[in-house]
Amino acid sequence: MAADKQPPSDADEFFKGFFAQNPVFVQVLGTCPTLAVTNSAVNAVAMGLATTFVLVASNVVVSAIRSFVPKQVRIVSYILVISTFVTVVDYLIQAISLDLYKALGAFIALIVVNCIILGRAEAFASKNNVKRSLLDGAGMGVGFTIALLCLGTVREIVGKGSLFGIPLFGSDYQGWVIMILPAGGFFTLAAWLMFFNWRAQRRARLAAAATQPAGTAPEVAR
Amino acid sequence: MSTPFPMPAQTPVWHLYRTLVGIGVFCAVAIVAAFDFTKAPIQRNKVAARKQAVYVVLPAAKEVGTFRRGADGRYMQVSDDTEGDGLVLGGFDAEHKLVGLAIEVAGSGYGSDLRVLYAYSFAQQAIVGMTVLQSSETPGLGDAVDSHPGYKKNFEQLDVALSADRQTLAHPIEFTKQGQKKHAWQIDGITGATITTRSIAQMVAKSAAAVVPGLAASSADFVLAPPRNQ
Repeated sequence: MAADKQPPSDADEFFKGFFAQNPVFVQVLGTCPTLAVTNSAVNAVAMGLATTFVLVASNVVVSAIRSFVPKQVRIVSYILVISTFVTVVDYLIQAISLDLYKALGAFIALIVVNCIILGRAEAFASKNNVKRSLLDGAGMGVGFTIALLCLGTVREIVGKGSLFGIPLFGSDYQGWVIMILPAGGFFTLAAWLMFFNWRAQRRARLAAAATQPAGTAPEVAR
Repeated sequence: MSTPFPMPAQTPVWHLYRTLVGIGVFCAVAIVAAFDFTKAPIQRNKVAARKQAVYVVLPAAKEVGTFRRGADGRYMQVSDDTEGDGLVLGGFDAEHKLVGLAIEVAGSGYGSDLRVLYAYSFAQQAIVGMTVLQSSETPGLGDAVDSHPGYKKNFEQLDVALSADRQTLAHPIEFTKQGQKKHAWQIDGITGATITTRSIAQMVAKSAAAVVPGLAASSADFVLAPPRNQ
């Protein structure tokens, strides 16, 4: 019954972005920075944190102003808010480390057009209160960071033989250069997407088996 | 005559103005506040990066001094955190002997501002190194200027010898398309990054033509001052 349907708890709102609705591995959004900056784990974490900051801040502001933004100008309003926080992040990264700023290059400015951020503003923050929007932004940001880190660690370990710049296999290790080139990003993303799809199918299969009446053979998806 | 479904109320136009102007003011305040808050640390980082870049373009340098041309036309050492145009960075070896000079130039690339540091050697009468200080050019294309070994090789022995009257360069620096370089004063571009490579070549060419004759006449000015007592 519709009346029995409870809104998700605050914890569910926060954790849904980690894996169940991971913006990269489940929604397949924001793949441009995902492929481009994940040639090292440090770049992945930096881009993830920068995007998380923009997601949280823009979700909070969009939610706070949602009641007095006419629908005719809502998209331009959201983009203004998002681009402001991207500019703030741009200055902050320059203040923290110019090397990091140089490594991330044009992708800091391109956070403005990351569809995860406008997507959460339009689909969630513009319809929910500030608290839930904050939790949603933080959860999606952490999920995005996890996804970038998944790619960044694999690519750096295989491509350079190091993790966060620390050599793992000694000086004799010859890295697979292709893994730190753009093609390596596609290979690694494909491998992770295969893993997440396999995991989702396996969970669905187990859930279906659990609901089968005793004595009937469960239909196994292959 | 009434319609079966009432039309939704139209939003007054001044509501749209009010919303956009209000959000614009909020955004402007946030951006300027962030700019003001981060200005000092960004400047510190830029000075440190500029100094590090001198060691990249002049590998024999162990010390760096910042110089600026005074009203009398002579170069004088100034504080390392000095900003503005016309700065020349001197690279000195362990005995404080001048190794070469590094000059910063700025301009526009394909889609972003570019800042480049190039090194000039008095002994070789040539540009002997170049590194990119700032660039947000297209990833995979324009940003190759800082990593493409062929392009950087252009700047390892780029001829900027002076003409007989020592007032101009004997051969102005020229840009050529990839693979068409024939002379030591030419810079080969990179296919796929033509605009960015040409921009850097033009920036360096313009700067070298304006600065190198003056530097050649002022080599005695570049003396590293002893550190000041605290």
